[in-house]
Amino acid sequence: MKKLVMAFTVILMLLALSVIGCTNKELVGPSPEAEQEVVSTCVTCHTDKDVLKELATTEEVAKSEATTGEG
Amino acid sequence: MEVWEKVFVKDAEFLQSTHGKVGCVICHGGDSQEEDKELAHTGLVIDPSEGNYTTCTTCHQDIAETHDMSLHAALGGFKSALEARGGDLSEGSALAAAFENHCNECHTSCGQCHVSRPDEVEGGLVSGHKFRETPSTQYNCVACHGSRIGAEYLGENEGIPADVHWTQGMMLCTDCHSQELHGSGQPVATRYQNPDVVKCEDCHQDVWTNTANNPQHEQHLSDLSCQVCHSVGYKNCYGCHVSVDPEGLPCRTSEPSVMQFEIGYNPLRSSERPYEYVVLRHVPTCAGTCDYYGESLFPDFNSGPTWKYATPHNIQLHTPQNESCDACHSNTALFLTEEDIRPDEKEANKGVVVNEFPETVGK
Repeated sequence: MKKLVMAFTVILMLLALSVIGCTNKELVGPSPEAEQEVVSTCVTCHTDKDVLKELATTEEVAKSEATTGEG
Repeated sequence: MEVWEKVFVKDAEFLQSTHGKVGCVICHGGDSQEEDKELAHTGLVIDPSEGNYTTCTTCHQDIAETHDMSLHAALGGFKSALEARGGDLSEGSALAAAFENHCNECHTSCGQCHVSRPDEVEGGLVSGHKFRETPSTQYNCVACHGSRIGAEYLGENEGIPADVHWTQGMMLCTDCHSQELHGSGQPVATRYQNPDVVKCEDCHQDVWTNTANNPQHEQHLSDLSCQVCHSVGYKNCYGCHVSVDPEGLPCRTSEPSVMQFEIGYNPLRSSERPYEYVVLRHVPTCAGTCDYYGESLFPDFNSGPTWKYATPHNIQLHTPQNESCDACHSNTALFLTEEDIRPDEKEANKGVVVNEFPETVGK
């Protein structure tokens, strides 16, 4: 009987530990890539309309002016 | 579209999506730690899905593999049409140079349908970098297929009504055209060879199964394509000539397009398309289209018609030709005849020109 009680207690403790491990987000750190993306200059600039307007340069489209008629 | 707008990731939700979480550099290259614009863009890949990049195949291998052989990617339709007229597209040939300069621009990548507008219309994100499972009719499909199909469907040709699927159902391109756009995995010469190509009967099965109250359908289902009775005038193009301008840029000229409706013999008759009569559209190509690059680049020009099997996208329930039996049967103006063919194209089109007209029936 004692052995049964001990086994049951051990199982309960293991379950409790695994539940805590799964729900405690502090134990899971961001991956290096994700952390890097947070400070990405790509995102900083490309989500800022004003920055994009300020840095935009005129596109040079190499299209012939000799083309006429419908495509 | 303004330059800045083309690269503006306006929807922050994208950054939390599956594609957004991948990070910019994985797909686009560049340096995400650099603050200087020029340095940050060093090694930038604008369209990661273009060419041999494996960005999309990592997760979407099945679709990407069939897409490689699709008409959208491989341009099999252009190549087969040129080769059918005896064109030599081998490496280093004059026609290969013309193809590279003038035809190759009309292909699309995964991104140019699902993320941005096509390069041909100078690109630009469609929905703030959101990956759209369904491409935009306005910004993707019609951006390339606008002058003929788009204008027909949306009713932009003066005096010609829009397609009933648009006016009555507000149906978008992808409501009919879905899997076929990624190809079947097999090379095809025309879109009609794709086993997944959309057919009217995919939705309108009752037309085939219930003809009791429709003698016209009962009489004509197997010998007329649907468009013969249910489409109206559509755009036909002529006299396309390609060359290179003094600045070295590829250019082309063409004659003004003409709105016509022409019924002819079916040039693609098969068990799938058994109709004797179909509507035909004149393609822009002529014997001298590529003369700038060399003489007689199409030695077998007459091996195929310049009036091609067509499926105009301006379907109507009621049309002038289906008002009565004799609205069509006695109306030779509806049919492609010798008089409609240009002198230098008569031989090429002899198989599709109608010589004997349906007899009048007095109804």
